[in-house]
Amino acid sequence: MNERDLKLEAALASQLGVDGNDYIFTTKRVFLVRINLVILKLLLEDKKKRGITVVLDRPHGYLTHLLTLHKVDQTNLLYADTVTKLSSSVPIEIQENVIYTNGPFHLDLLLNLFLDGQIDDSQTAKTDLDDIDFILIDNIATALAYNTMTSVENFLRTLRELISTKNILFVAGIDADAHKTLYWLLKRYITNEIKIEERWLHG
Amino acid sequence: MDEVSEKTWKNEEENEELRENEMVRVASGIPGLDDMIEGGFPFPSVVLVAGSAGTGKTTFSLQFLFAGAEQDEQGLFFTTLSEPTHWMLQYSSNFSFVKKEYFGNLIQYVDLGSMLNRPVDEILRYINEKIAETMPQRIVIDPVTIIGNIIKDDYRKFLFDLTNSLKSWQAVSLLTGEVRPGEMYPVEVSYAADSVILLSLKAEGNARRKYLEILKMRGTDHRTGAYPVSITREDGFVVLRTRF
Repeated sequence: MNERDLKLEAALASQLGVDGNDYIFTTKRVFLVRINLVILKLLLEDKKKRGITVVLDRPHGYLTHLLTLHKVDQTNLLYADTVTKLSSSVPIEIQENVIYTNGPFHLDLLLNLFLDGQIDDSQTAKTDLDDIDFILIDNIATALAYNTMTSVENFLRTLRELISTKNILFVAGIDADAHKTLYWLLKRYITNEIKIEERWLHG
Repeated sequence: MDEVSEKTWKNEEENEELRENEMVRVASGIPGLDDMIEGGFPFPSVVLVAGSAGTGKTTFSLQFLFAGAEQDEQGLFFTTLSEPTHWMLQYSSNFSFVKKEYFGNLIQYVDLGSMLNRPVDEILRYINEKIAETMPQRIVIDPVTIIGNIIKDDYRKFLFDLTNSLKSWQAVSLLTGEVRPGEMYPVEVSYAADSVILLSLKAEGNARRKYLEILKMRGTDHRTGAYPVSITREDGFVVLRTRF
């Protein structure tokens, strides 16, 4: 990771987890991937946390590849991958750290994952929220492409109730200008907001 | 939450309308173009910029990268021509939009030319590694059609895998394509791209004028028809208002 991103990580470290355990960060849409990567490095490597990343935008393999190239240890990371089954033309490979759901339009299945620990019996990966320190969503705005606002709200409400009882850090990034409606919905359920400042991106 | 905001998200019908407007767009950096494409290129997407020699493809692409750099967006420029970096710098530095301090920082330059005799999977892996290293928001491959001349049989599969991969990296990617005589645009690339912008030269009296035409842009109510363009050192690539 370059110096610029290390400075961004330091800026995020000074905010994330300081006041409570639920956070949205706001930035331009184009910077979401970079900031999610930096947050994962911060949580997995520096803070030694265990967590789940819910991928709604693209198959988890891209994030795995990014983290590998940036030498971030993924031993304590579990993926809830909503995309691969939808986009893959070949049978998916069962992996111990990946739970595949049937597409990003099944937010109810994601909730089952958090409530029951797994989606179905065919997969080996399981979640136990008692063993989880954080949940990161990449990226929540994509959910709106496949679900109604009411479904997204139900998902957020249930997730909010869950994390508040388990002391789990919740992080989701959003471009507040591009997704005003969803931003206000998130603000209703998530207490803390980190506005990514331009100077953090400059390094 | 204020009353107005509360009202906004509670109304399902209004939400449907809002959702329609939620496609993120990035400014092209080309004066006059964004007005024709609802504010900018869809993000993420793959755009083919096709044209014969001298129509301004590389200038268009560089201006797109510099516009991003002005907004702190990382740019990645793959050249397939094996041109030494200083040649490109030398040519492009004539344009006022070029800020040399961005080269090597917010605009990274990668030579793909030396990779093109390798197997297709290796070329794709190399491109993906470079993208993962720099995490760009804007990518250019200039010109992609040269790869087709070299790898021939695997070209369609390469383009399919390349465009899928580019979209998954969450960036706007411009692929420039040389148009051969008798061809309107590189068909193989146009199938794989989300958008096709055609740059052309038309003889008018004793001169040749440059034009830009948007042939397709997914998810965008774009203008149609050929629009004249000018390319000057002072203003770079500009789409003029008058339509012909």
